[in-house]
Amino acid sequence: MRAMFSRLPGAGAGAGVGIGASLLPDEERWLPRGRCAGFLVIEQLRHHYGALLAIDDVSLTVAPGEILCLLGASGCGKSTLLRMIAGVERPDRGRILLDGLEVCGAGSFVLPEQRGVGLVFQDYALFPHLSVVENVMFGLRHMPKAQARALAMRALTRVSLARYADDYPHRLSGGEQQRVALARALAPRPSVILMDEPFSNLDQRLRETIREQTVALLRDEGISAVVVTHDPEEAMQIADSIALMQAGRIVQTGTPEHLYHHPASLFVARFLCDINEIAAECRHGQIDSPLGRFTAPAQLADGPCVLCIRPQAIVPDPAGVAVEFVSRQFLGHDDRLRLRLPHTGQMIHARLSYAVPLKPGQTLSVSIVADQFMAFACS
Amino acid sequence: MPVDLPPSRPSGRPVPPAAIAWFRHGGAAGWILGSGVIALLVMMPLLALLVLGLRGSGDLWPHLLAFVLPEAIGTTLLLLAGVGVMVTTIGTLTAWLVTAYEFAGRRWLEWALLLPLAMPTYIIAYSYLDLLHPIGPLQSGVRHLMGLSSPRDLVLPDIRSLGGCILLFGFVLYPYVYIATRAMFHMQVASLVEVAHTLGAGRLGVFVRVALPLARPAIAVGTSLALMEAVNDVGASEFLGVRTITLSIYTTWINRSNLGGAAQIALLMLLVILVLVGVERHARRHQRYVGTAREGRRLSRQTLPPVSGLLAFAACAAPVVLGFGMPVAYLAVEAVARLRQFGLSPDIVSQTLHSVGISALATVIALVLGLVLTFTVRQNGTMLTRLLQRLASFGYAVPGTVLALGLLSPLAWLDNGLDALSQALFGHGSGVFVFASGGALVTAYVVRFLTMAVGGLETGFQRIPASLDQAARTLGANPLELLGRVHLPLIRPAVLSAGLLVFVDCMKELPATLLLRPLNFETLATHVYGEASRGTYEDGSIAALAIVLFGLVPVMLIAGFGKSGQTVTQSSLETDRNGTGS
Repeated sequence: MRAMFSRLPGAGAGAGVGIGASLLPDEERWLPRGRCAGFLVIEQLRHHYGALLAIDDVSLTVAPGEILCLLGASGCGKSTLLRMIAGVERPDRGRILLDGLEVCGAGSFVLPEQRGVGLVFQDYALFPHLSVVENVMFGLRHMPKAQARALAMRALTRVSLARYADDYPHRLSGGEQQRVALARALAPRPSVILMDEPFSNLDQRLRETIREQTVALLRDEGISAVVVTHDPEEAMQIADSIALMQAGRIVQTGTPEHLYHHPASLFVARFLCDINEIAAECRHGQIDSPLGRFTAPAQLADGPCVLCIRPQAIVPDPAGVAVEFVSRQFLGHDDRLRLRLPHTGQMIHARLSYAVPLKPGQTLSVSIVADQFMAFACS
Repeated sequence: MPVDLPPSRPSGRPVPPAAIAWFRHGGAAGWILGSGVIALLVMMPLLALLVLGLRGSGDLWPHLLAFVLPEAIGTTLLLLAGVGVMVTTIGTLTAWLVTAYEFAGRRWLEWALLLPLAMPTYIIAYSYLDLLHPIGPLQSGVRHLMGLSSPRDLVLPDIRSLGGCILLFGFVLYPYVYIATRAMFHMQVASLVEVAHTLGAGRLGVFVRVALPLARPAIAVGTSLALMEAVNDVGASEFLGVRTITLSIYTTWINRSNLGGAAQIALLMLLVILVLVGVERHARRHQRYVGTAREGRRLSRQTLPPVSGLLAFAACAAPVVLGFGMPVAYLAVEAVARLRQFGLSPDIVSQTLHSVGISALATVIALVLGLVLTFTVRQNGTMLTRLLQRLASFGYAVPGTVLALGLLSPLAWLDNGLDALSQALFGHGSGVFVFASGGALVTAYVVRFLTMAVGGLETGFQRIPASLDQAARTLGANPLELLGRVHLPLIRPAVLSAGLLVFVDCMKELPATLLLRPLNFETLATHVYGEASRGTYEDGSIAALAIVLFGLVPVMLIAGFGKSGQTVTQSSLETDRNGTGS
């Protein structure tokens, strides 16, 4: 990675990333393939708000056409990071490179209006005094009006909203406003699109649909995107890679599968999925727990540890450990069982997809699906 | 993660060198510099005052200390205490009645109670002096009813006294408290009042033990604003023979021609003002906390039985009649009589044009400067820019007399400079151009009323979410385009109402106008003052009525805003702090 960065043009030496620069004479396609597929590199970014370290030594890479999710709880710095990429906030230290050009660094700072990034907000930020098509045309000032309007209409057609072109934003539903915001951000053909909780203002059912449509659009056009979200399921659904943030730092980066199956810490494991945490002991490569004995992961040192088991990894097994059945919650597609472990009396949850005919107080034998456990040393 | 670098792009705009990039980042430096210059402009009169005061007043200070100041300070403190009690009582009581109860005429009174805001203190004093004159309509009427023939047979208390001054100020300044506390009462949740009732509190108990304590910050805000207005007054206290500290500045300057002495008194008075500003700011912060802390069902009005309803009506109608109805009726009668007899005099027309012209110019300048200040904070909300905006808003607290005194030497210095420059360039001097052109007057208006422009524009800006700015910037708009294409279209109503408020207050301003106007330049306000000084009250009635009618415009604005929520009412209160002129 380091060697690769060194090939990039240095500070101030390269060409600016202007919106004008991203325009092609070829207007036939809405987004000529690869045009919005910028290459974003962030190096050792750092930012303070007063005494608070909001961004602490963050480095990231978004490959052309990649969708990266910045995942984290509220206040972890993910939105700040997004605003820095957009250029509306200036970091204390570090570099941001777009398509190999330094847009933010020790000696240079490209203004947001010249940076060529698209921004989509949680509240969509549509200009209330402009019609839908005027909103989309806002970023297309450097061309004749007729041409700008044609381009804007093409963008609106792409998100199936051409018929509302002359309406004002407040007349549209939340999902429609979200699509206008997307069309507006994409119309000037930015090199990367940044989305800040773009789906969180939509109700549950609509959110699924809009999310699928948006991701399909980004994939079809091969657009590079950074999406901020606090919802791990959303991140896993849409991302090529996830950067999980905590207190201004990136704690782990990788594909959704990698983060899910190989969390780097207990925090990551907890964030991505509900887990049962069981106190256990690691000795000579073996973990002893109330749920039985497991082979410890190679890097786990001897001593007390936390055994993490997802509710869906617990299955009935006549040869398993006997636990006490406490209660059951019916969730539709499966049941959520509360079980009491022997000896310690700790409560754990299990998800079973078929009804188990049990009364409270009866015992049930369960075991853990092979390898579906994680263990972390107690710190 | 193996990643191939995409081919590098054809070059667009070159990346600017670091220094230029910093300068252009949000256009920050230029805007901050502009804000700094504006803040300096506002602080300049105060600095000049300090220099003037430190330079000394010759041997006047011992005299002032021994004979003038003790009485002036004592009178001022008594006046402030009296007015404070008056406005607090009238303001909170009427606000509670129209918020908590339903009675005949309530809806009408709710906005009518704002009307005295249109009445400058010097005009109410002016009206009542004639109304209550021993041979005026009121005393003649009373004597007629009692069958007495000579004014000597019945001596009523004289309005020309400290007590009279307190009464009159109370009846025109209570709306500041009324607006603030009414907004606060509106926000109180019903459950609090209902709980108090179930715990055994009667109507009075709820008011005294629940409503009043919760409204305390609002009362403090309203009262301190009213008191600043009382301190600012020159005309009324002079007519009523009340020797306040403001008046002693005026007389030390004009009658004794001792600028140093006047500046020393002015500095002393600024201490009083600082205390009031401190109280207001502190209370406002606390009020925000109280305001945001509660949510829930709003209080619903209780219908009063007929007799209590009538009493409530009388209690609310009295301040409206005394503070607005009677003086306006008097002015209207006199004005109509004048118009019948002499028609519209050309003097009035030229005075109106003077007032309108100079106020309009000051308004436009105040709006532009206000826009620079608020947009700078919007773009770059650092401690520095907020401080500059705060400093630039300090003029509202400075009484017109003090402001005029402070502007005198910087503007004279500017005039000397201009004269020398013109001498060098064109061979003949420009004389006292700044004073003769009305430039001094416009400067005073801008410095004094800039707060209202800033406050109004700030309210407008606050309603625009920050995400719109960021969206516009990433879509290619630079700061100036952002202002022109997004902000201005969206804050147009705020610009308009802020402009109206500034304009009307310039029209009403008296003390600075008296002191800084060009020779023989009469405005409506100075005309009223002149007639009152000569004792020919009825001759000024048309001008006085015109000022009151102009003053009704912001009252309408506030009455309209009041419905749309507490924050708006608060900010329009803040912006209309100078509502009653001098």
